[in-house]
Amino acid sequence: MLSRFIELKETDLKYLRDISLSFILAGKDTTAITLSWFFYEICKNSHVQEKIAQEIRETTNVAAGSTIDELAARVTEENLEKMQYLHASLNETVRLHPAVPVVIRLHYIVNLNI
Amino acid sequence: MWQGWYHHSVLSDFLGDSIFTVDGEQWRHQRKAASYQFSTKMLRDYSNSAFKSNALKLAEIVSEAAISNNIIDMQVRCYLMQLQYTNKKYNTFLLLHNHKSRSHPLLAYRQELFMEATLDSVCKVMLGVDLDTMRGTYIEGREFSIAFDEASAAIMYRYFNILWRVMRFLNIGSEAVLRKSLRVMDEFVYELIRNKIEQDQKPQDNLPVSTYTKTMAIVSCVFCVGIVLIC
Repeated sequence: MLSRFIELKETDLKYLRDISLSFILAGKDTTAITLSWFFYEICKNSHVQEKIAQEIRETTNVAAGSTIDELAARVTEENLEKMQYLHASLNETVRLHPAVPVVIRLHYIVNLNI
Repeated sequence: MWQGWYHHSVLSDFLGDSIFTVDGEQWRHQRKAASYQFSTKMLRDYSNSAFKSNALKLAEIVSEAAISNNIIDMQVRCYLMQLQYTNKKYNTFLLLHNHKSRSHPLLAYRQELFMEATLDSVCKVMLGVDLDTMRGTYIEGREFSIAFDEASAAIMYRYFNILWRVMRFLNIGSEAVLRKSLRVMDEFVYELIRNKIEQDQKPQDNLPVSTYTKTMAIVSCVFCVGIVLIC
């Protein structure tokens, strides 16, 4: 991505630094927090977990007992698009636990309960 | 999105004049450039493979821990790595890979796996460098990662601390930490950018530009979540 910006004749070091750091900030915490919530939710709802696993098994056609590398080789963009249940679960996670405004919302809830 | 002068004044030491802190024409320019970048097939494939390889690494670490019955830390930060880091700066690699040291109750914890995984992936996509904070093999990467976390914490603290300007002037407390972290981050990022520019000026480095696609497709289920914030 950085080299793409450089190709677009951006040579201002400060500008490139600002863009890079912003994207790292945007991509890092939000994704990690959402991932945590996602795993929290599927641990709580084991039937969802089982359904997701089932869907992954079906779309990727992996044999039982195959290694993680074999599975990863079969996870293509095309296959990912077929995993609608996984997509829906991720969307639901974001709906229940939005990564950015969650702090503000919690404060409101606390105030209301008091 | 309207950021206004207030956010700019608070955040600009960290983020400079980037998409989160500027308005108007500057914002429009960056917004366009970014969405254009994300719609290219080349970047999509690149980020897909980056996220996938890091997901694999994450899965390996988790299964290792499951087999050996180790406790791992997926999300919560408990500053242990920093302790290790400050005491034995250049032994991080050894500490992480030495199973004897892992049996020590304090060192059995691994830190914020998800944070490390996403940081590795995003840095790979943005800067084209593998920080490998998950395995901790790249000392500069680890330094950058810690500095980045400290700087973002210190910047957020400014919103709750009305005296931050005074503290910045006197260079004390969180502002001193911030200044130090920013220096580490800047050194690392500037070095990378300089190398990239040098590489690009060499004539043999011709990336195919014809791979642009016009449709804005979904990058991948998980990566999408990161972009949501910018939109």
